[in-house]
Formats: sequence, C-alpha cells, structure tokens
Amino acid sequence: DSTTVQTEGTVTIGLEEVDVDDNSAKYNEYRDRKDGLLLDLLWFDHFDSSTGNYFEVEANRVGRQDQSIWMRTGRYDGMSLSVDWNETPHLLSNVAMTPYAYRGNGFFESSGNVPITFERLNTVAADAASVRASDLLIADFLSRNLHGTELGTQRNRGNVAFDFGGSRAFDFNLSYTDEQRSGSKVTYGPIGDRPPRTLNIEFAEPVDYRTRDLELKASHGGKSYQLGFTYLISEFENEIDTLTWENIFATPAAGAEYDVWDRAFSAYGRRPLSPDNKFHQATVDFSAGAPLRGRFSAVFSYGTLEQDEKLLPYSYADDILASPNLPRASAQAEMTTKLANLTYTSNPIKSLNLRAFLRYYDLDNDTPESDWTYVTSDTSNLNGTSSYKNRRTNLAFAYDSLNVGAEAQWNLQVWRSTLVGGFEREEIGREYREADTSEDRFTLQWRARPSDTWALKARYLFGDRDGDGYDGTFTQDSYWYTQAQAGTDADNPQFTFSNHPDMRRFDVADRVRNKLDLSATWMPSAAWNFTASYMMRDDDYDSDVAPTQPLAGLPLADAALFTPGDQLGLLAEDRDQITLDGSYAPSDRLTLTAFVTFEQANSEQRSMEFNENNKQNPSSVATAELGPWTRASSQWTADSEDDNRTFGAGMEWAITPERVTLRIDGNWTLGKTDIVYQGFGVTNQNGVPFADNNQYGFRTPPTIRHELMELNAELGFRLWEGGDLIVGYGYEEYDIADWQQEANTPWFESVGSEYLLRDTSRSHQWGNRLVNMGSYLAPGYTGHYGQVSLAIHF
Amino acid sequence: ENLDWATADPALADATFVANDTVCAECHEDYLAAYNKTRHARAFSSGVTGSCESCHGPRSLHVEDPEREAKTWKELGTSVQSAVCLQCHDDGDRMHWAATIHSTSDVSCASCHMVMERGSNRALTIKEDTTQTCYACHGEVRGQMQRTSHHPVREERMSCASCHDLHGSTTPAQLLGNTINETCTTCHAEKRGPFLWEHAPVRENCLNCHEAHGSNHKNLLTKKDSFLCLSCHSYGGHINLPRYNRTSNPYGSGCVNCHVTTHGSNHPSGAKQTR
Repeated sequence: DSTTVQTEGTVTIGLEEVDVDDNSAKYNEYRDRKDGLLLDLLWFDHFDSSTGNYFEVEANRVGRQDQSIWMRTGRYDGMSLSVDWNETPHLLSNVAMTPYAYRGNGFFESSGNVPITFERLNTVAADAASVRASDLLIADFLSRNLHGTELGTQRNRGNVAFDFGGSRAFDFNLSYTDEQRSGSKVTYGPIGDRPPRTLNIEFAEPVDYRTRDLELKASHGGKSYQLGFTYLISEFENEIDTLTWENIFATPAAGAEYDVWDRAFSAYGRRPLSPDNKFHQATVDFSAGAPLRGRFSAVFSYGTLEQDEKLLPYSYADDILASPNLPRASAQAEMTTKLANLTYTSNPIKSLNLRAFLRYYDLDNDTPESDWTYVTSDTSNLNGTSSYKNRRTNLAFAYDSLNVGAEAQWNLQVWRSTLVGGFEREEIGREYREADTSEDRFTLQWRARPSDTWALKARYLFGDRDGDGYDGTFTQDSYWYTQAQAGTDADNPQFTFSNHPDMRRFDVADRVRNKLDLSATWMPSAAWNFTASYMMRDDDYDSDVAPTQPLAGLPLADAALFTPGDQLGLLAEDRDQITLDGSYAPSDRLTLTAFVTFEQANSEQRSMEFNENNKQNPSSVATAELGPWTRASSQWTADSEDDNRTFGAGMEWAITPERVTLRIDGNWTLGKTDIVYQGFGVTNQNGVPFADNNQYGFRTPPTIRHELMELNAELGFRLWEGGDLIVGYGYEEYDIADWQQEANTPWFESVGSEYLLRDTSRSHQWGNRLVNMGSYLAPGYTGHYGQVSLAIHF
Repeated sequence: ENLDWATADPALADATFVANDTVCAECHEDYLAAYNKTRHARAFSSGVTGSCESCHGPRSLHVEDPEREAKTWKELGTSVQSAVCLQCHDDGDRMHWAATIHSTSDVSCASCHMVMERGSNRALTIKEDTTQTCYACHGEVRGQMQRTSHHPVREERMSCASCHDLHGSTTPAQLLGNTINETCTTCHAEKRGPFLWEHAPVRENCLNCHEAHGSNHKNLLTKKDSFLCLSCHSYGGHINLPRYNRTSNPYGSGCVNCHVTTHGSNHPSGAKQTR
C-alpha cells in the first residue's frame, strides 16, 4: 500500500560485562567497552506517504564514549535536515607514568629536580662510576616522584546539514561540522644544544583542538549538463598554544655542575603546539554531454591556507641571547592551492570507450623567507651567541603537478571481455627540493566474463619515473652564513654539502615500477561465491649513482676526493599480496564466509656512517671508526620485511527459523617485521665486530610481532513477535613483541626501572638517556566480553 | 537525462511506457512488500517523479506478452545500469561519475546499492554498511585494517567513505579531498599548517611516510621509526645510524624523540624540527 504510514524501529538495551587486564589500553583503543547498562541500538523509521514526510534515527552505544547518533528528517520532494554526532576515543595507555604535574595551559611542573653530577664532555670514560652514580640518582628521583598520567584523546564530532531540496534545476545545501578533540598524546621534551648534550623526557602533550567547517553547496542541472559550486571554510583552533615543561635536571649536586661546558641549559623547555589555521576553498564543478556520445567533466578549485600564530622567542631563556630579535613577530605563513581536473569520456562506437584526462594541482607558498639566528632547544652559549650554522632561512617549499593521460577500452566478443590500454604522464615541479620528476605510466588491462559464473581481471602497469638533475645542494639556500663566519670549521653544510651526495631521497628519485593485479571471481551457483586476487608491486629506485667530487673547485686539500658512488637511501621495495574471499549459503538458514589475506612487503635501504665534522677534510679521519664520507666500508644496509597474515571466518545460522539464530565470526591476524641489518654497526669499517655496548654497535634486531585473535558469538532468541533476547560473547587475545618498546635490549638498558633508559655504552653523554613513560604503553591482553540484550522491535 | 532504452536494449525499441505501477504489481506483488520500505518507493509515492519503468524501461510489450524476452538487469551491463540511475542521480558529486575509476572499471551503481529492498539502514548498500560493501571487492583492505596500527574502521568509528568519495571524485584513488593531504587534514587539521619550517615530503604527500590502510608500525608509519628517517637523511654523525650512543633513537620513538615537530615547526628555533 503506497498511501500508508510506515513506522518501525528497534530498541536494544543490554548489560555489558568486560573482563580484561586493565593495564592494556589496546583493548579499548578506539572503543568504550565497560561494565554496565547500555542502550546498544535505537533505530526509528517513520514515513507518511500522505505528506511525504520522513523521520529516521539511528543511535549506537548511547552514553558511551564511542557513541554515534544520527537523525534525518524532511520530505522526499522537499527539504531535509540531518544531524550526526560521533564520539571516538583513542586510548593510548593506562600505565603511563610521569614526574610532571600538569598546571594547565600547557605548563608542566616537576615536583622536584634531580641533584645529579653530570660530567664534562670528553673527560670521563664510558661506564665511569660517577656517571653510573648520576643515573642512580635519576632513578631514585623517578621512583619517588613518578605517578600515573592519562594518555589518550577523545574526538567528538557533530554535523548539521540542511538540504534545500529544491529541484534538479537548483539545489542548495549547507553543512556545519564542529569537532573537538581533547586529552593527551605522547611527546618529548628535549633540552640541549646537540645530541650529546640533550636532556630528554617523554611525557604527555595536552590536546585541546577544535575544528569548525562550514560548507555551502549549490548545484544547477540543465537538460544535458550539471553545474555545481562549493565553498568550504575550515578553521582549526588549538586552545593550548604553548607547551612548557620543567627541566627535571635543573639542579646540580652540591659541589658539582652539569653545565661545565659553554652551554646554558634552561630551567624550562618551551615550544609552540599546533598553530591555529584557516583553510578556505572554492570549487566549481561542471559536467556536460560532449561529442561522440561523450561526457565532459571539469573541476576547478582555488584554496588558501593561512597561519599567523604569534612566534615564541628563540629560547625560553631569551634574555641571555646576544641577538634575541626575531625577523618577524608572527608566522605569516600562507599557501594557495589551485586545481583543475578535466576528463572526457566517450563511447564513439559500440565496442570502444575512450577516456582522456588532465589533472593539474599547484601549491604555491607565499610564506615570507627570513633569516633566523636560532638557538637549539632552549640552550645557548654562555656568551649569548649561537653557532654560525644556526643561521638558517625558512624555505618556502612549493610544488605543482600535471597529469595527462588517455585510456581506450575495446569490448570484445570473446568471453565478453574488455581490453584496456592506457598511458599517463606525470610531471611534478618543486621549489626547494632535490629534483623535479616526470613519470610515464603504461597500463594494460583485460577483463572478462567467460560465463555467468566466472569474472576475470588482469592488469599490468609499468611506470618509469625520472628524477634526473637530482641536486642535493639546494639546502645551501637554507643557510645564510658566510665562509668567513664558518672559518675553518670542517662541518660546513652550506659550502660543502648537507646530505651525503650519494643519497637519493626516494620520493624524488628515479623509479621503475612494475605492478600486476590478477583477480578471479567464481560464482558456481547462487550459494557459492569465491574471489581470489593477487597483487605484485615492484619498485626499483636505482638512480645510476656514480662517484662524485662534492668539494671540487674548493681550495681544499681534499677537493679531488670522490664519494663511493653507491646509492644511499631506499633502494627497492616490493610487495606481494594474496586475498581469498568466499561465501557459501546452502540455504536461507545458513551462510558461511571466510577470507584470507597474505601480504609481504620488502624494502632495501643503504646508508653509511661518516663524521659530519670532517666534511671538508675527510682524509684526516681515514682510519677512524667515525670516518670519512669517502669510505665505502662504512656503509650499512637494512632489509625490512613486513609479513602480514589475516584469516577470518563467519557463520550465520538460523537454527530454528524465526526463533533461534546464531552468529559466529572470528579473525586471526599476525603481523611481523624483520629487519636484517648488515655492515657498519655490526662491524667497524675493517670488518672487526662491534660489541653490543659499542657506541656504534647494532645488529639485526629481534622480530617485531603483533598477533590478534578475535572470536565473537551471538545467540538470538525470539521471545515474542517483537522481542529478541540476545546473548553475546567476545574473546580477544593480543600479543606484542617490539624490541623498541622493551626496557632492555643489547643496545639500551633500564636503570632502576623501566622509566629511565640508558644506552648500554653507559657513556657520559646525556643524549643517550631517556626518561620515559614506561615500556609497552599498550601491552598485550586477554579480554572476555559478555553482553545480554533485549531487542524490542516495533 | 532520460536513457535511450532502444539503444540499451533493442528489444524495447517498439515498446512504450505503460505508466501505471499497479499493472506491474499485479504480477510482481512478491517484490513489493520489501520494495515499499525503500527510499525509492517512498519518494515515488510522495510526489517525486518515478515509477517501475523509470528503471526497467518501457514495458508495454512485456505487459502484452510477459514471456517476451528482454534483457535482464544483469544483461544490461554496468554502464547501462549506471545510466539508469543517473537519469535522476546525476547531481552533486555524481555529475562526475563517468570520469571516475569505478565507472571505467565496470563498476555500476548496482554493484554497491540494492534498490529493490532495504539491505541497510542507510544508502541502500548491498551490505550492512559502507565499509563492508567496499570489502566485497577490496578484500585486501580488510586484511590491512586488521593490523595493529590502523584507523578506527574496524571499530566502525570511520568508514571507507570517511576518506574516499565513492561517487564522483576525479582523483586517482577517488579521494574526498583534492589531494591526499587535503583528505588527511580533514580530520588531522592540526597538521595542516602552513608552518614556518615546512618538512617538504610531508607537505607533498602524507603517504611518503604513512600507510593509511594499516601498518605494523606505530602511527601508521611505513617503516620502523628511525629506519624511515634514514631512508632520506644522511647528514653525518648521529643522522646516519639506527643506533648511535649520543642519541636515544633505538628506543622511544626513534628520531622523533628529539625531532618532535616532523610535520612542520612554527618555532623560530625550529629549523631542525626539534621545537
């Protein structure tokens, strides 16, 4: 009956019970399962055909921190209003510890300081008793002052959208979104001018973000064309502008100084948090019929990004700086974006489809470039000066990309197949990067339906990206000191080089890509459905690197020396992926599903160790462990293998039709990462093995392993025509092994507790200590979940 | 734009529109109970122009002779199936449907949407929600989303449609934004900047460092902490090794322990992104 009122809905109220190790935040990482009563589902649907009015509500997990509520009302031939509310937790840890007390507005204060005895650089041997005594003082301080801290965020997003619902000829839509994110996340507070003298602590950065988006859309449809206009205003506000943390090492022991070299450590560290910003974007869309039974689509977009936060001083201890004045008081950062996407599709003859496209995107950076004289991490020389190398210019990185391509599809009679051939050229131009790149991509695809039960697809892509003209010396533009100011300092990145000349950054390097996709779907009957797919992608970043003379032309004794000429950086990546997916429904009462995914991703990278303090005179460190940039035997390689396997299965069984149903599903996922490390670090430059506590020692680390097993079962009983009793149970087991989250490995060890980590070299250099919030902030768990619900349908 | 039914199915060339759904209901009543709860049925009964023949074509010959053969919905092919829907739904982002990867890959509206009955509470998707609908073809993504570091898709706090415009994006991966970064900063607006000190690969493409569909490494990184940074950085000294005793990079978060503002710094002392 098309002239009736339709009203129906479901209310599901349940009792939820969770038994899980409270130590693990991973269980509730993105959800809020906890003991108690729960409005699991509210669904209401009302329609009155006499007026055309409708009203729909869907709400899930009401009252919990992972709730969602959606409502829509309106008339099918008229206006509509929708309201959407979503909450998403992101729990990071239940076990994090900190010595800090949060005083609000980004300010962290320690309940005390550590009276430690730092030692002068290069005056004490590693593992000296006095250094270890200092570590024990820190450990003791932590044991007395650590307390728990919350770590995680809550994201609440609300959206209201109004659709004028005019007609196809003219429509208007207005949407407003307000998102707030609050809580805390992991951050670090380094204080100190360089790594050897960096005092670092891991702690919780407060998050109090708000993003508001207003979007207006208008569209007009003609007989054979459509026109649209969209304007988006997005404003991000961070309620906390600045993070300030106390230096817990601020108090030297009586009769000792940790600040014995010419650096003034600050009592506090300070840095800005994510700045407020604005994004405006206007977009015009157009689509129309075109010749040769074709269609033309165009999108033009113009946007601006602005950020003008007031800048902090160079240092928290700004009063001691010789040149404390900033070139400007606020960021004045501004970018503009332009986009033009044009597509023409055509079906000129029955068996041929054509598609041609042009995509252009331009990101222009209007941020003023200024000369800065900064200090590092709130530390400065005692005389208030800073290193000549800290005279840096902010470079206004920008880029534009142009993609042009065409594709032809021939529909063949054989096996109802389609043959597709395509070509695309991509050109990306960049300001202040090593290279512009151009890439030619060729694709060949074959799709077929040889019978009603089979569908086959094969696609091959070959891409050849050219990063010719790769020039790493663009970084010279980011320094503004003179050679005279550098003097005879051999670490002089402006007039020598910054990155090693044999390095090729993978995103702008040459690349040959081969990619193959195969898939087959078999549906022997309405009951069976199988899909198998395979993907192979092989990227080779070989850029024909050859030995170069980076000092050529300079009046230096080592001007004629060559680099080894072995490419550094990411060398190759390959990925293989197999997916099997199937379902079997022998009757209306039973459906079985299963899927399997295997994915293996391998990458090869190479780099080399060299002393940055000898860029101008590498021969002077020819035999040193921390040697010259000319020495190939200081290279190392790391082959990473990410291996992922997922298996899932499910069953839905109406044991007694309309009375008793059983749903079971389960997933098992194993993710592993192996890094095979060879070369310098395993041995020195002469092949002599390094001990694990050597300052450069490293070797193949243990396998990183994540394993997740989930099993869910739900039994439903129809109690009466409109009422179901649902009993659910969920089991989860998560295991994690990650050497970098351990408290003790061959390369670092805990001192007193897991909250103070120290490099096993036990050096006097403070950069190798880290006060942290704990190992395995989200450890493994075993969790049981039970739910008993009553669902009432009306 | 009305579909040329004679071209779509020559068997309908001589047919005319009956324009009376009650005639259809006389034989196809078994479909109607489910169909009447759909948005289409409700819209057509509320003054929106449309009928059975809007989607099934002129059926006068079929009414005359129900055994007379015409193409089934499946036999119409994906492009015609979509053209049927686009007679009414060619507005909004769907105006670019023909330009999308889905369209040129033999995907039709009916690949994802079920019109004749309500299979889901919203959007008429063939599965219970958008994500499960996408997984029907993109099964590999379901496996990736199971990884330890993932967006909250499997927890149903996001869906594929949170990032992908499934109907009318002209970007290669059918993204919601004009670029990958515009898409990511829809939710991660704190990383949008612009910043005083930009990190160029970050500004150009978030995916230079992140795997959006899931990773074995925290924060969806493509590689293990410092090994990722060392793919590009080889300055000398500590910026060359995964372990160097003056820095804490084998523990904590690697290079990020000190270089905390890798997405861009707004500090005048932020050139090295330690502030």
